[in-house]
Amino acid sequence: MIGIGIDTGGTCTDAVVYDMTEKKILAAAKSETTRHDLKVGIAAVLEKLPKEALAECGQVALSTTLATNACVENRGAGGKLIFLGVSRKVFDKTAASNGLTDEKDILLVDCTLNPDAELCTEPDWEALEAQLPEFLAGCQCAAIVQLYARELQGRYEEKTRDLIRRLTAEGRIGREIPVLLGRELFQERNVIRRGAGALLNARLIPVIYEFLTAVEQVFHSEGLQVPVTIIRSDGSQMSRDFAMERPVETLLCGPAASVIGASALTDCPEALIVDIGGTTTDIAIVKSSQPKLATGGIQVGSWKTLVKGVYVDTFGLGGDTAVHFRSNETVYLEQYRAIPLCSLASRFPSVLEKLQKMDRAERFHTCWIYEFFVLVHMPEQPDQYLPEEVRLMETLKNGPLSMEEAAEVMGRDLYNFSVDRLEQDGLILRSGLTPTDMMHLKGDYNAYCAEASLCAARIFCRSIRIPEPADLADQVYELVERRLYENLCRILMQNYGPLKASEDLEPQMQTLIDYAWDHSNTPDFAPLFTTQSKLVGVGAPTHVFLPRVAERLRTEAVLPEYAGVANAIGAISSQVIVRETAEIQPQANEGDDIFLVITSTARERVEGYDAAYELAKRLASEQAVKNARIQGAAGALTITEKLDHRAYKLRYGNTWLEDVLQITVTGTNLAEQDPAGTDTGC
Amino acid sequence: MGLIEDISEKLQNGKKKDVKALCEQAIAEGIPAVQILNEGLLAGMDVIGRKFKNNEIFVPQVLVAARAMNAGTEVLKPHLSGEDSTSKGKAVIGTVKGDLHDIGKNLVKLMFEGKGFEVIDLGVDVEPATFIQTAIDQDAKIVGCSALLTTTMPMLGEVVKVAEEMGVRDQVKIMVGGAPVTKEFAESIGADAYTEDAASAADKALEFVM
Repeated sequence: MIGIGIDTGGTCTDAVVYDMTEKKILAAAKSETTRHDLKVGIAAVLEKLPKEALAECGQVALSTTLATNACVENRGAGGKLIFLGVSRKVFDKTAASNGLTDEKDILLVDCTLNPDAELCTEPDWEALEAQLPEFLAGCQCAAIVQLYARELQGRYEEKTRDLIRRLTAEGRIGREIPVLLGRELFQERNVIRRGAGALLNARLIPVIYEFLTAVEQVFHSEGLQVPVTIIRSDGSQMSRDFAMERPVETLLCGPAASVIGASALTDCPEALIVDIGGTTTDIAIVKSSQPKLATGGIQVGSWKTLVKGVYVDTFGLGGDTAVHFRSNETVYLEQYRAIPLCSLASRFPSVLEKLQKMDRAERFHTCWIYEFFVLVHMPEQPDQYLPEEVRLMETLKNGPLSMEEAAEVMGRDLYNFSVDRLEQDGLILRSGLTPTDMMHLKGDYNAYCAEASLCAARIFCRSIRIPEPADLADQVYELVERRLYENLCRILMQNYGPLKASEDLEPQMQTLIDYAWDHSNTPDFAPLFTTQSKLVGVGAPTHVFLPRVAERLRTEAVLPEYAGVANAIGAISSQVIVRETAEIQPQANEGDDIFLVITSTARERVEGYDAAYELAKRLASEQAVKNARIQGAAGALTITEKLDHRAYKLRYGNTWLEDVLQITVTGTNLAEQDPAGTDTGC
Repeated sequence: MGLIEDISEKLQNGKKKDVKALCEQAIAEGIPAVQILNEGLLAGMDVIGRKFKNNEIFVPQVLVAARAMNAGTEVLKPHLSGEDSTSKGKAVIGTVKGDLHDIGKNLVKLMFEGKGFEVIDLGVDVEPATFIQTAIDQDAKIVGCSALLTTTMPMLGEVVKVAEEMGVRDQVKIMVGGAPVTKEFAESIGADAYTEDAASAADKALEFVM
């Protein structure tokens, strides 16, 4: 079956035509992302795809930054949250730090809830009934979250929803609004975060409704009357209907789409996805063909949710990382970026002229005189800056200035002028030598003005007595690869090795890794760090830098074609994945063979471990399958299970806490196909 | 030997009546109450704590020393103003649900008070939710839970789960203890600390609030 994947990224909107059975890309296109109205960019990119593809298409999948943008821009409204069993004191201590700052949108219903149902006291339902019409006036979507939802099977959330429905039917609440329960959205502990996630979700519902209806109109006008799916933050897929109720599940789905796409392009079950961008490199992990998920929930702005995202490690290294020299004549990479000189010169011919002039004069210096400054924007409050700083920014309006020219405008000498504050405040940008420039020197990339890179490199080399620009390029390549190698080793140690996830490398370990990079062939002592995971490169510079790093780690670099549209591919090749957990807890004080089975829908006492296990498996599987269908999975489903036996040795004897059973159900939105291969749609 | 050192020595020897009398004398001589408290009573309890840790003295001696300290603090209380108080904050302690052992817990209470904590003792057979709810209501930073049976140890994990569920896990430090409890078990349930005896528990609690 043919599917179309569309990704609205930060800069570009990509579309890809994908044969889902053969796992092949048939066509790809790009257009500019129209952030203010995403559907415009989507329509534009669809126009660029071959018309036959649209005619044969059976499914369209979206990866969209809509929710993330809306969050960051504080769009979305009309959401209300009802908390049951959260005391005023707890709320005051926790609300603000989780993003719950709009108190008028939150109702605290007084009642004492306890994991033991017998110790609960009911809320005053009559009082609540009187409060609700006013509280929900003008509300577009309501969320209800209770304390101990899992232990109490969410019965207070359900009762409150029933009350709202009754009041709506009686005409006491103006219109029928969607009502979402905390436990339907999130299974994890932390009632405050469930509330924050549920309220954010409620606020985003009008936003996604507007977006999806508009996008569907675009599809129809292109002749695409097919099921639409959206990719989730954890890389799994959901149907359009499901997405309408769960916009919060699309937060930060970009990285997830990227990982799934890269994985689909390369078919490596164990992989590290390496995305070298302009400023940063992002590393994601694929284990047994599944992306590794982040611990903790996604945080956007001040909102702290329980939405699961993919694990991504980000560090400073990219095509635009600034390259500098020190007074002791060593070359090094900064953590921050600069505009590559080749790129600046392509835009401003005066930059090339100035560099050529400096080079012809055989200039060299202890300062980085080949660098330029560019104005980003004027400050909103110019009086907060020194007159000389303002003078510089005014002059920059006419075009980039070299470092010496900038110093002169500021009335200072080269050694005593500083633009640090202007750079930090984002008002001006530095342009200098970068790996991108080095790639131009070596001929590995030629989109911009290589002559500018060459002139600047000659000045750089003269300044620290490097014989040739080619030598400088070699050194910079090695520095980039070294930094990549060091970070990969760190990530491998944190995920597969002895380091804890958040633990940094101690200096001695840093020394060892550094040593390993330099001494892989030293006979007396050659430490070796290896991994079976392939290094999958996404992002333009990877084809240059990744292969040598992979060699040091005794693995392969895989550089798929179409890596540039990995996100769009991820959207169309993702699967529906649903997980349910059940706990089996021995009740030692009731008897040797009595177990408590707890799932999201049940809490039962069972005699005998085997019976308890069977019950847990049946209930969790049924719930997972049900949820998978709701999420849009059609056709065959795959069910796997994983058991975590939590028991500990004590000083005298053992203690068995519980067994945690995790059921994972995987499926796709594709319906069963008949043998003739015709598309039955969904 | 000075008056203050006398108080400390008498306390260490469990001389309740002497401690009371000496404290009254010290007040009459104009020595600030907070100084008598810190350098006399608390200093004496500090030595008791260290000797107990080193197995030089045992539970009965600790109990009589604590009794002497209480006699002293009763005398000092009316003379201690709000700012003088060396309160390190509040701690909620108890023995978990299903467990009735309390000797260890009671020693912890004494040691905590000896370090300047205000202790809220919930007693025995305490529901997991009660530990955390009390800590929140009373603004207590420390929650100490004791379990002496392998069958009640899981309840220690339940206390951590309640704190997570209420969204306040980062607002309290949960300490666990009891004969069968181990450091590995404490780590696996996500507790903040495991200590082997009451004196170490008090030291650890102090570390958490400083």
